Amino acid sequence: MNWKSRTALALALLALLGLVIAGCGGSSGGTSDSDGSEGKLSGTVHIWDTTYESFPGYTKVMNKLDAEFEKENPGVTIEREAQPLETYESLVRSAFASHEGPDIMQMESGALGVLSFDQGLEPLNERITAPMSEQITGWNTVTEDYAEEGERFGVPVGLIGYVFYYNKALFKKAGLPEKFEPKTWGDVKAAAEKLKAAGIEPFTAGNGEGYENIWWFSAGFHSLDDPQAEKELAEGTLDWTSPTVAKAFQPQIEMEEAGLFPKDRFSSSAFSEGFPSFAEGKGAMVIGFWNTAGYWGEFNPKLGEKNVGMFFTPGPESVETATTLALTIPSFAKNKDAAWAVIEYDSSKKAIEALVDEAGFMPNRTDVDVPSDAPVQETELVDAARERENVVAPAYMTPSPVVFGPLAKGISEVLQGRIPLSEAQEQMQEAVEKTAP
Amino acid sequence: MAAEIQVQAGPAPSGRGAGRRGRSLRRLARWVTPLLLLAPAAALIGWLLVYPAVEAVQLSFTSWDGFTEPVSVGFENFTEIVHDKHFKEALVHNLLILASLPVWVGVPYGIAWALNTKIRGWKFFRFAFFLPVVLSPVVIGIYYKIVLKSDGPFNGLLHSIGLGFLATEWLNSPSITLLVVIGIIIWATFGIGVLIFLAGFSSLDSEQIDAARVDGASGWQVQRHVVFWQLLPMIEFWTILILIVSFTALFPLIYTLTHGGPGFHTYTVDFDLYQEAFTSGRLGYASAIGVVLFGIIAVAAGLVMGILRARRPS
Repeated sequence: MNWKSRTALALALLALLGLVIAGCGGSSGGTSDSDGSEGKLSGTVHIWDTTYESFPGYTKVMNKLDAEFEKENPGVTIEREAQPLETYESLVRSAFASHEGPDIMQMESGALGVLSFDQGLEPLNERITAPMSEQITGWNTVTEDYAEEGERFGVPVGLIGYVFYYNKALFKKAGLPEKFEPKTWGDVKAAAEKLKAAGIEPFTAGNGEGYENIWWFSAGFHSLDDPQAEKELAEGTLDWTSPTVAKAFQPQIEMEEAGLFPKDRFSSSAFSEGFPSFAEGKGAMVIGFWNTAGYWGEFNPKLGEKNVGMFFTPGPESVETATTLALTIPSFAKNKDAAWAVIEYDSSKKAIEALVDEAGFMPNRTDVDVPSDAPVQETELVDAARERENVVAPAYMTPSPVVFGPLAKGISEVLQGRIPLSEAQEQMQEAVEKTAP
Repeated sequence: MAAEIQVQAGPAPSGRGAGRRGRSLRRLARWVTPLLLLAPAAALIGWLLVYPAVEAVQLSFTSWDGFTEPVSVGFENFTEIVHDKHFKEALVHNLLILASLPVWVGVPYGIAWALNTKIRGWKFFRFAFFLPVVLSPVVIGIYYKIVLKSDGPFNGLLHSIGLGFLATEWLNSPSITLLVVIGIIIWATFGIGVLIFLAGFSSLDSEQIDAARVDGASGWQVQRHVVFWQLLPMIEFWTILILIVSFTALFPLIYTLTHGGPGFHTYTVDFDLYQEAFTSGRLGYASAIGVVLFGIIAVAAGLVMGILRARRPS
């Protein structure tokens, strides 16, 4: 090969290398209007979604919405990737540490997600329009310090909260009223004892993972109806060894001590055993959610809509709520403009209506109502959220995830009489202090 | 003829200088060729193992949450490890798991010896004993989580054979669960040991064994004084492997089977490391745990090697 051929070959190789590099770079990024075509979006929007492919109704709606978005924005391709919820936190942390990941991360609201990772998320205030701000509710679950106004790091989609479900037929069998509205935890305990005396399992439960400890803590804390404690919880200044926190754990401890939970509670799972047991009529009460999982949508088909009752945390007039999920843009996202366009689309009136109608979501937009033929539970919950004062569910305000480990594990140990409550509280406080800035 | 061949093969060496050059080149090639062959593997190891390890050591001296830049904290992480209750608990659990070493070595050794005598159906048993090794630890964890539930098949079996009084919450009893975990780990890994020892048994020096028998040694004496010493390198290898496994490979099993519980009763160091890094977001501290773990394994491996070699007859 002479020098001319060699030079030509070398140049060809260089050109090929250049093309490969350009190709690699071009495939991930995107533009909005860099070529002068105002408002035109392009590129791929990569989404991490923990709900996708886990819930058929949601998956169907999102497939439809993605296809419609792509049709309206021919330059944009949406890649929605289902991520397992169990390991999602690790995945998200790894993404932030390596500055590599998707353009949109779906997260839980409050400290369960958005507000634990806000340092790595794009502030969205400049993108959120006034009508969007007014029509969507639950902004406090994605805003610093849980305020309505302030730096917002996500767009909330759907409404969620904790509520107790009860089986009306079993209540009737035990001589209890079918319309059960307890005013105190004592009322709940008395009903549970009456059920037990009638040979009915008072609560179905599965606390192997310790999740129920978190949910009962949330209900217990909310029932304190203590605005100062809520403020301290939100600010992260609450001392976990304080009597206030101890009081929040009491309702569950008292029920456990009275033998009102199933014996195998600590070696069974909430989602695969606790909730299905309630749906199968094996117990009279269960602590559950407003939607998505462990909710009326799972119980009604088996127990009958008229047979599934609900009661809120006894005591306060307010209801504890949060948002089902929040859509966020990580700071390292390559295609932020297109990502925002997708977020706007997925939180629009059209999208929320589809999620409410086809996936059983609770609307968190003031311009979306539940259908007239919606189950009574759904209507009742949405009415409660709209008519009563909303307090962010305490579980969504705990300095997650650091306190959840000792809370879930420690309280299970307390409930089984292995350690005193004070020791579990100390473990929680230690965890919080260890990660304090 | 020789001159002809030299002409055909190329220019003839012009003297002593050319011969020396040829020898030097050959010597150089002898050095360089293996290096060149090793280079790709070495580069991969450097990139995938050495570089991250060096980074981890650097990070272990920092406080890093993954969002902001790491901040140097000197030896603070290591000081904290010394006082960290959960780390100490986890380390004790790892040491307890390691304390089952005699069983971990003895069981596969005994089984391999039995299989080596070609008992009836030995091929089937060899396959059956190796089967758990090919299962993912995640599958094993989930499988046993179901089997050992309080109302699960194992307790059901105990009840059906009249041993219901033994039924218990296997994965929720502080005094039992770690033992259960140890049993499952041994079950899941002993197949490798069986294969290693089988390979050792099949390559024994039969002359030495015959000589011992001729000298009147009993079967037990042959095992103890001849076979055991011939298999010592395999025992060493298997022991080191167990040591590494018992400190670094338990995470998937613990994660799926007990999640460190009940309470913190099955917390292991690798599980603790994961929790610190990915639940608490303390990547600097988790790196320090990793460094300490490496040190522990290195020291323990050195000790084990030393003990076994000291016992080897000259």
